[in-house]
Amino acid sequence: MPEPLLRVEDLRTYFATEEGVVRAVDGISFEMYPGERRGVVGESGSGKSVTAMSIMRLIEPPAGNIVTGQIVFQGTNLLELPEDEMQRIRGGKIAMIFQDPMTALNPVYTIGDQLMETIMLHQKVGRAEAREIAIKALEDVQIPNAEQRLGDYPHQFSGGMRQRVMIAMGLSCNPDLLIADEPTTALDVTTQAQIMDLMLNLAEERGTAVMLITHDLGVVAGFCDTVQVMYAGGIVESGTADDIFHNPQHPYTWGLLASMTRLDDARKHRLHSIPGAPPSLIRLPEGCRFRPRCEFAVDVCRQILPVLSPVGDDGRLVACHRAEELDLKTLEVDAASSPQVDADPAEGVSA
Amino acid sequence: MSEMGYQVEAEEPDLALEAEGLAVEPITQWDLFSARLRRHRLAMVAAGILAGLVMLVVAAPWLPLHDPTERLVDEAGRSLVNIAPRQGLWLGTDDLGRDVLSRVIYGGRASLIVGVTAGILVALLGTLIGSLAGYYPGLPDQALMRFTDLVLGLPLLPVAIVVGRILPEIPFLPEWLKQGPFGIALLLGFLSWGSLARIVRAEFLSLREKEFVEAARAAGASDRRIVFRHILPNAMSPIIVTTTLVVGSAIIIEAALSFLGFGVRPPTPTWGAMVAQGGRLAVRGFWWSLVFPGIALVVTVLSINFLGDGLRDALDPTQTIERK
Repeated sequence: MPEPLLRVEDLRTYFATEEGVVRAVDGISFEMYPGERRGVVGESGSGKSVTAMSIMRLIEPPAGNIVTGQIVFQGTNLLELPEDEMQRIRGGKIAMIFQDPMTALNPVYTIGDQLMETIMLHQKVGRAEAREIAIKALEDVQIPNAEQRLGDYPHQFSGGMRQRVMIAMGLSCNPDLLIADEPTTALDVTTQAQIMDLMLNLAEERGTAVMLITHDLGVVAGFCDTVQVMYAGGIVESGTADDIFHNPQHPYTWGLLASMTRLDDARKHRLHSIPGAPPSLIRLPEGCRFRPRCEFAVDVCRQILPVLSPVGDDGRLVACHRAEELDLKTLEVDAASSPQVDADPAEGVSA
Repeated sequence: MSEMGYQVEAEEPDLALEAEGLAVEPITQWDLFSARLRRHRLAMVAAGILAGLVMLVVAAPWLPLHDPTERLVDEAGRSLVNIAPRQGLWLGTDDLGRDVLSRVIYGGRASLIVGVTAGILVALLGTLIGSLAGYYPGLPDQALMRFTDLVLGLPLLPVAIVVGRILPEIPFLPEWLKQGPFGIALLLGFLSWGSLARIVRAEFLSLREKEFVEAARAAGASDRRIVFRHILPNAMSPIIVTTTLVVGSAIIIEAALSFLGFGVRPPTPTWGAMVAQGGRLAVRGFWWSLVFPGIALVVTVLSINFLGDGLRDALDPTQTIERK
């Protein structure tokens, strides 16, 4: 195994609210390797975005605080870096693409200004050279007439075009890690696949590792090498995309997959749904956090929080007391058999 | 209805070009802004008046005018006191034989200096304090806003009178600060930045949560860069509009102070002092000493307010061009 690019260890990010402490991310650990494409999936409020924000150190005290943990990126713990060094990492070594391209660009500056700002912030180049890099970056994301469009304002671009600009901006400094927080959620379906393809191809050319945050399981199936499934601030299962999709070992993952609509499923039946709602992150249930919604819960689930531990020997990690004994793959709900992975993103399956 | 619609379309000059698919210069924010402002007739008239006034006031020393403090005499050596408007003395003279036209123009100097200086000071202070409070929540915000409340709570006129009285007694202050319009301008500026600070703070509170600010931070921008390059330009419209209106009210307050005798020291002419003096003369029938500085004051302040109105409409991107 090569050196990990990013190692997150026992990260806990809490938010103080009037109702109590929200444990948005509660003790997660994972590693990412250079060039890896990792999908982070889970329901809203499962801690996906907060994980990303914590890595970027964009959690703002006093409301939000990274309570404990380590985020080691290329050998340095980001949580111990002074702010000015962190600013060099943001946008330079780790770039982030946001969910809504309509609001992520500053309306009062031209696209060129904003691209060049980022470039000049992280590379020692003058305006003329930054302009060249910006034009190249726009061409890379297949924006026609890149040179002219540099002088356009964000409102003159469509949503898909803006997300291309965001991708150009994110990749313009050749980061080692690109965090994409639901990059296609705000786009319409026809452009989603294009944008994903574009982003991942460019990342691959540059050897950039990608952390793709999404609740769209279809996107993960199509584009990611590894997957981590998050629930209520913790990782419940992680492994290769193939394994996770063919052989889910955590009841939550299984539930998510069973609740996907499938085009190749001819049978008429109700779509499987996970009963209940995610727990309040202020008052988490004792024991396993998924227990109140789990069909397979037993007594031990009520008392002890399962830790993420290896199952089998293919690097699979599952946080379930019954991981070894349950055979979810063969389980027939009234839903279809376990969904297959196929690399066709146009299938548009979603959780 | 159809006739109207047709006319509107016919007025659009670029339409034919666009229909032909020819390359059209992109419409910038500035184009939209100036187009909207030009549709605002009252604001355009006001801008014209103000431009004329500024030119007049700046060029005053080179214009064929009497000195505003000179007591005029005719060829025979008799003093020309309270002369009604006539050829050569277009606006008449006051009770000391001074040319009212010249005094109105030079009085405009004092008024504009007070208004613009106070406006600039308010823009700087209000923006600085408002943005700090809006960007740094918690203690800095609380401290700055309570200070702002304090300044807003001060009654402007009484405080200006008292401070204006004390200032000349302080020995180490330079003369220009004690005597001229600058002293009053600074005083008014320091007393009236409160409302702008509140507006700017509110803008910052909403803008700092915008995703483009988060995106800028994720791209490695420092706090200073975020405040000055990303948030402030988005908050410019309310700053410009509020500052414009402050200019108007500073002119009014300076006039009020001069009217009460606490303003710029005589014999330097100001509109407020002229109105005060003119009031005494008008009851004796010499109306021109009151009416002309009064008209100048009202027209100027109204123009500034109309311009401010026009700017507010023009800077509001949700407005369409067709209105007004």
